[in-house]
Amino acid sequence: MKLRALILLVTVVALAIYAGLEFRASRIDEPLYPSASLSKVMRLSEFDASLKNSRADTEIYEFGRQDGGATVLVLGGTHCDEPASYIAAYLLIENIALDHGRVLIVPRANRSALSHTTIGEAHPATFDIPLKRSVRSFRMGSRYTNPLDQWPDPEVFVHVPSGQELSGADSRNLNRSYPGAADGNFTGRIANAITELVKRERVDLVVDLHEASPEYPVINAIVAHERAMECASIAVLDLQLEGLEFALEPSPPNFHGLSHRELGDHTATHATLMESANVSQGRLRGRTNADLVVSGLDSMYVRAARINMTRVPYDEQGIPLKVRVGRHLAGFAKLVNAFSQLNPEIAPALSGIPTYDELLQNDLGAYLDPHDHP
Amino acid sequence: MLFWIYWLMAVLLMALTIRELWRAPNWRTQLASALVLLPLLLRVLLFK
Repeated sequence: MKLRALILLVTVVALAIYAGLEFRASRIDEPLYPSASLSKVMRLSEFDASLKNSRADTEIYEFGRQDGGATVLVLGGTHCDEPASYIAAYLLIENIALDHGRVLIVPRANRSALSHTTIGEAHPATFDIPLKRSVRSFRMGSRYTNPLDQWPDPEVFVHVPSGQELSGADSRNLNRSYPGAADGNFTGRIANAITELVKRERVDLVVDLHEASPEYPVINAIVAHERAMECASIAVLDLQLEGLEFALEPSPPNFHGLSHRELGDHTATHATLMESANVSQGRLRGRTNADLVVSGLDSMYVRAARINMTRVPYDEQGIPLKVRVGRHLAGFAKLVNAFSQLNPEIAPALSGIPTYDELLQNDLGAYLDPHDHP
Repeated sequence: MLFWIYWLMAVLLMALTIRELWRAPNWRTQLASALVLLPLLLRVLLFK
């Protein structure tokens, strides 16, 4: 009896170590290979010391320098079940070149959310992007901060300072927590650090990258704060002239906690946000796996589109990751161009970013291969 | 603080489960105890 108990105990410990190693792997940052324009890497804890050594203490990549040109901030991975947001940020980090001005990129804005997946969504832990001779794996995360970092959820999340009430789970949603507070909860302090980053680094333009399900009303869109509306209008017109359908959405004044609303209201920046269509987030999707994340092809959505249940065109081609990343990069480039047109004296000079057509032709792997950039 | 209260509860439950594993009268109860032990162990080791 005792021997059997001992054998069972050893077996359980072995299983726990095996499973534990998989959990542990989800906490190690994927390596990134910044372009030659990298000036320095800061950390979010420099803007809120309470985040030091926590899972929120993420990297801020600085390209170019303060030379009188504008500063642009790109936020990827605010919601880590929206892979086009952080893959676009990774691609920018590995390809961007700057002659004038400065670009700050936070690819894993909510780093804690990239350390787990959402219960009940059946999302894969990782997905692969093919390179020329191999594949590169990327992690799939969650919309919410890991409960290991912030727990338990309140019954009702009361946003500070507006007093707006949302569901308890949204207390772990970074894009409902802006502007944040130094004495707030874990997610609120991440938001506070990003708000402080925007203030202290005098960020002129913020581009927050997101995805949403194809049945969500705000999709294939640029959302802009009032101050950024002129810039976003020019960008959307330019995108439409190039055949990319983008809607322009004003930031709702009474919907609080979102980056475009609160960074616009609490700082001097021009705050914008972009959405692309991601079926792996959709409620109508069928089998959920790594292939769905990359191919964006789901037969249930093909049927849904036939009866007008989607807000974007959807057919047997799906909406692959390269299309979604391409839209984000095209939108980013047009927003920077529009900002430059309106502020020619501080116009940043960017290059190295693939166009939408180049990305579709060459595929993502061509720009994410650490040894072989075009 | 809540985090550590939860952790201490997991340690306590784990100790009780190991005791059950040792004292169980038959292999079925032993196996059940071992299966209960697995998530507790992951929790205590801060893997999960």
